[in-house]
Amino acid sequence: MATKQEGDEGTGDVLDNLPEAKQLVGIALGGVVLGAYAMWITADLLPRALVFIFVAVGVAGMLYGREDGRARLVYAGYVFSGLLFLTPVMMILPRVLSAGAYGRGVFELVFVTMNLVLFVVFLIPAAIVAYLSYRIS
Amino acid sequence: MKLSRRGLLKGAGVVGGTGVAAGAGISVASGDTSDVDVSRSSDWGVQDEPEPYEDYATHTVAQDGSGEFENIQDAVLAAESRDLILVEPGVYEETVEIHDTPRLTVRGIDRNEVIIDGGFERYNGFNITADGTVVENLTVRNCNANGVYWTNGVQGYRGSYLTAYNNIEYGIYSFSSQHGRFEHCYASGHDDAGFYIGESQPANAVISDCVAENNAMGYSGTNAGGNLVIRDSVWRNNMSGIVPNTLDSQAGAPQGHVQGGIRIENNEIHDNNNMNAPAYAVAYPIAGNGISVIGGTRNDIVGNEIHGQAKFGVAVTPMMDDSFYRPVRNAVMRNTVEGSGRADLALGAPAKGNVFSGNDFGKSRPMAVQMRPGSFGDLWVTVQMLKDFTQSGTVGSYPKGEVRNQPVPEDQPGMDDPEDEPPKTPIGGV
Repeated sequence: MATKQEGDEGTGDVLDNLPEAKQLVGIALGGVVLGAYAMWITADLLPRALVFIFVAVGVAGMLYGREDGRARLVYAGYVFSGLLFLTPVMMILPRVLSAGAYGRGVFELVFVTMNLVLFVVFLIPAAIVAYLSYRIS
Repeated sequence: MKLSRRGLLKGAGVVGGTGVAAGAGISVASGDTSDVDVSRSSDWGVQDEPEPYEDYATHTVAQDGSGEFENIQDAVLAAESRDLILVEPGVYEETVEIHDTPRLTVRGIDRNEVIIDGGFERYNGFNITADGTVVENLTVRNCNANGVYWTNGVQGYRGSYLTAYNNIEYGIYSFSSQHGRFEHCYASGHDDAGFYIGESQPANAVISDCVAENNAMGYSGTNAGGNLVIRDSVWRNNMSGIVPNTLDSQAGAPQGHVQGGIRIENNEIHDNNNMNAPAYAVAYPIAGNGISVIGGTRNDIVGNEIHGQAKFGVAVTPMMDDSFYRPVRNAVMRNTVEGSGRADLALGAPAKGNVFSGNDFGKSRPMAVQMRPGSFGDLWVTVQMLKDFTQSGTVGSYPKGEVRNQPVPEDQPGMDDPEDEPPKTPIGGV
C-alpha cells in the first residue's frame, strides 16, 4: 500500500496554498459558472438576470465563507449536483404549468417514458458529482 | 412526415457533440448572414387574377335526377377541357378522379350543402393529376386519407371556398405540383395537416384567407419553397400552427435550399396547443408552437401576430432524420409574439446564419436573440424537441385525439354567385 510521501499535497492543500488573488478569481468564477447554469435551466420560467445575480452572488458569498479550498470545492460540487438534479425538473415544469392550455391533465403530460428517462439521465451525473464531493469532504 | 430510429439516434449524437458549446446558451456567431432579410422574398406571392374561360359548357350534377348526372365522376368523364361542373346540394359518397381532362372546374352550388363524404371507406375526396383543375365552394369530409389532393406534378391548381374536415391525413393538399392557390378555405380535424404544399421548389403558390383549426398541424410543407407564400390567414387551436420542414423521405431536402423557403406573412396564429387534436407522431414534439421551422432554409417569417402558445411562438430548430439538418438563413422579422409558455422566440442549436430582427416579443431562447445574428442557438430547445420526438416516434405513446371525435365545423361563407360566375383559370397566366 502506498503511503503519503513528503511533498505530497491533497487537493485542499493545493487550493489553500494558492495566492489570495487567485482564490478570489476562483470563487468569482465558481459563482459565475453556477449562476450561468442556473440561469440557463430556469430561463423558461424565471427572469434570467435575477436568477443569475441571486445564484452567482449567493454561491460566491458562500464559497468565500468556507474555511479552505477543499471546503469550497465540496460546496461548489454540491451546488452543481443540485442544479443537475433540477435540470429535468425545469425542462418539464413549464409543461406542467401549461397543462390547462394543452387541454390535458398534469399527470398525463408528465408521466411519459421520456420524461422519466430524462430524470435518470440527469440523476446519474448529479449523484456522481454529489458522491465525489462527499468523498473530497 | 415519418420518423426513423436511425435518424433519432444520429440526431442524439450530433446534439450530444454540440452540447458543451451551447451548454450555457452562449451563442457563437457563425455563418454569413448577408442575404438574410425578408426583402429577398418581398415580390413573392404576386399572382395575376384567374382569367375566365370564354368557351365552356356547364354540366349539372344532382342526386335527385334533375341534372345531367347523378354523381360527380360521371360529369368529369363526360366533360371537356375548360368546362364547369356545377354540383347541387347533397351528400356524394364517391371519390372524384380527375386525370385526363385538364382545366376542369368542379363547383358546388352551396359550400356547406354540397358534401363529398368518404365514409371512412374511400381514400380521397378528390384525386387530381390533371393540370389546371379548380375545385371550389364545397365540403369534403371523412376520407381515409385526403380531402382534396393535387399530385404527380400538376401545373396549375386552385382550391377556393373549400371546407375539409375530419379526413384522416390531409385536408387540402398539393404534392409535387406548381402554380397554385388555396384561398378562402377551411380545414379541421386532420391527423397530419389541414393544408399542405410539399416537395415543390419552386412552388409558385399562395395560401391566403384560410382558417385551420383542430389539426395536428395547421400547415405542413416538406421540402417546399420558392415563391411560396402563406398570408392573411388564421391558424388556431391546432396542436402546432405552421410547420415548414425538411425530411429525407421526400425529394429536395433540405427545405428551401433550391429556390428559397416560404414567406409567412401577416397571419394570426394563436393557441396552437390542442392536444385533443388528432396527430401523427411528428406533431407531438412541436405541440404548443405557433410557427416551427424544422431544418428549413431561407424562410421569411414577417409581420405575423402570434399569441397564446404554450411552448414557443416561433421556433427555428434542427431536423433529425436520416441526415441532420441545421436551420440555415431563416429570417424572423417584425412579428408580434406574446404570451408564450416557454419563450416567444426560440432558436435551437446547432443553427447557422439565422436572423431575428424587429420583433415585438418578451422572452427568447437563447437570450437576446435579436442582438446576435447568426447565433448558434440554444441546446435547451433542441433537447426538448429530441426528447419529445423520441417519446412519440420511438416509444409511441403521446396524448392526442381521434379524427372521428373532432367537432363538425360551423357553416363557412361561400361564393357570392356560384351558379352564374364563369369558370376561371387557377391563377392568371397558367
